[in-house]
Amino acid sequence: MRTEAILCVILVAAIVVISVIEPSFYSYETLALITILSAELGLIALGQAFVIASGEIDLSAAAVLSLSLWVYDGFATGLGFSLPLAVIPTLILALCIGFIHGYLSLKMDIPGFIVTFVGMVIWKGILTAITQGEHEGYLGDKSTWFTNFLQGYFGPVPGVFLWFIVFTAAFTVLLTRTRFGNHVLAVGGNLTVARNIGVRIERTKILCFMLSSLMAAVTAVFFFNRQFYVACDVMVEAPLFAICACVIGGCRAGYANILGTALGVLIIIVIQRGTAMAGIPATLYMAVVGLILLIFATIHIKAKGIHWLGGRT
Amino acid sequence: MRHLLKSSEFRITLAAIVIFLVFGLRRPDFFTEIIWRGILRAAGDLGLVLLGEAIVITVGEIDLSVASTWALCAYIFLVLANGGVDPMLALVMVLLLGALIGSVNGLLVTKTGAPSFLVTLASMWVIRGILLMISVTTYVYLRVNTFLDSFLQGYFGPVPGVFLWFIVFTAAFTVLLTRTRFGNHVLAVGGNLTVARNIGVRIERTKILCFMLSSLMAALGGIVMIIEYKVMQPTAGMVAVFGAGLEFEAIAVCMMSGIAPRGGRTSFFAIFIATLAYSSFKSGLVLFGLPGYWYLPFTGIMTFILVALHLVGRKKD
Repeated sequence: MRTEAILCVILVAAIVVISVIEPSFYSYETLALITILSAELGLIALGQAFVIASGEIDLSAAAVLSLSLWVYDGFATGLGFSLPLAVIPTLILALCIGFIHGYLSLKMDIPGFIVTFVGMVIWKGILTAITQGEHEGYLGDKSTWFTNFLQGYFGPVPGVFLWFIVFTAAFTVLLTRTRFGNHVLAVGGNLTVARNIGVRIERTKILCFMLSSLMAAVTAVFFFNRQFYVACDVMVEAPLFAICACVIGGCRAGYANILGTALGVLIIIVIQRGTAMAGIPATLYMAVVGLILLIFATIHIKAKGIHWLGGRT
Repeated sequence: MRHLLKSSEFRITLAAIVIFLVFGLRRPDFFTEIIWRGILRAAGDLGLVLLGEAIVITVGEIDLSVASTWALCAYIFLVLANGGVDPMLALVMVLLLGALIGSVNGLLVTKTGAPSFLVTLASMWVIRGILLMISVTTYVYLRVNTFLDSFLQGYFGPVPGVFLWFIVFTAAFTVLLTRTRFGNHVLAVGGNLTVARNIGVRIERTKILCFMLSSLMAALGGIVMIIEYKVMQPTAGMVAVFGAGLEFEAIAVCMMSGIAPRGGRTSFFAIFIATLAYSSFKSGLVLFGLPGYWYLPFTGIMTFILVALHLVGRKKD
């Protein structure tokens, strides 16, 4: 059976079980919130899927997200840019950060997750040091056309969820129908073969890191246009959850399943909201996510009979 | 001479001397006994955990769960000691717990085929979740004084005991890596897996043993910490919710020492010097009155600078 079908069954089963345990779960408010949270985590997970497919991992998403929030707010509030215009410098900065991660990882020959781990500490540390860890609200106009464009409801469905669907479709096309997607899978699958057939490995990997940081910044724009506040510790658990979603979807070096990743995001958020509403402490939930991560990593590997890191080890 | 210039020991020693000189010249009170007690103490506390992490990196894997193991083992030791268990027995039990956690990590990595950063990322959260679940209060206190106080944390003249233990363990790990069959296997597995398999090294066993050593050292480090401070928070070693805690420091200092990031080459002497450089760097920042927020970004930037220092003039293999 296809992975997506199994994940759909798990998702429906999770919703049913949680609704039975906690009847207030099955309400419009909760489900709408789940779609919003899934969309925000999902955008990060889509970028992560490409990084994982290229044989690396990006732990810096939350730090880049917080940094992008402050930059976005800085341009919008401090320099008086309009909200749509402030998006441009925010995305450019995120691309630069992604480039730095990829470049350092390749030039120093350090695994990507160590570089992004150290990078996360640097970006987040600088941000916290400059802002002294404060929160700040946005005082400008909160109902411009741009905000409605990003966050307006389409019937009962939150607009951001529709954007998530659009991005999922776009990333599927990017992965399966373009030269770049082909190269990503080649690099992750077998580095030597990829090099021999002429794939530019450095460029491909750096582009994946840039894509991942870009998606964190895109998430920051959506987040800002919904919450209108900035802080240094927004979605701190995002990298772990995004990785977990990718693993649930079956992503690994040399292979990515974008739809599976999107379903993985939904499963994680449903379980998160469900356990929160059932009064289970957040710390226990962390442990549960860790276990889910382990179980799915094992299942997919055993099912396919391959090594997670592809040809590298 | 060229060989010397290329060795990671020489380069990290040079970096350490530069750090000492910069801080010493700018702040004359840097070279005082009270400051250096603190530096050596911090180096010892971190160093014990670091040695274990280094051996896991040498075998070509990574252990992100050391900080959680460190905190859990410290907490269990505290509960046992407060509950009237003989301290020596408590020590042995907690070290066994550490070895158990390590063997679980190692078994999961070798048997499932999942990469170690995923497995230990997961176990980092699971272990921390368990600790936060079983510990109810924000602060917990070690209420008993035992002979371990002076055994692990006493002073030899002006030198803190924990630093001497760090020296002892550094020497022991050097011997282990360079003079024993096990160390030889660790280097072989980390250096070239296929070759190691072909010459008959038992890869899974070697990797599991490395993970056990890492968790064992984390457990020992946790016990040393709780004996020193007598108080801990269950969130100790965990800055924010994710990362940037003790495991970050351990990995960062390993990288500073010029270890091969994908395994196969390491020098415990370089790690020893790097630990000393790192902890004096941290104390130096305090002396300069830098706000606490700046430690982590400075540490991160220094990590990259020192990694670059090790790469200068070295051919990519």
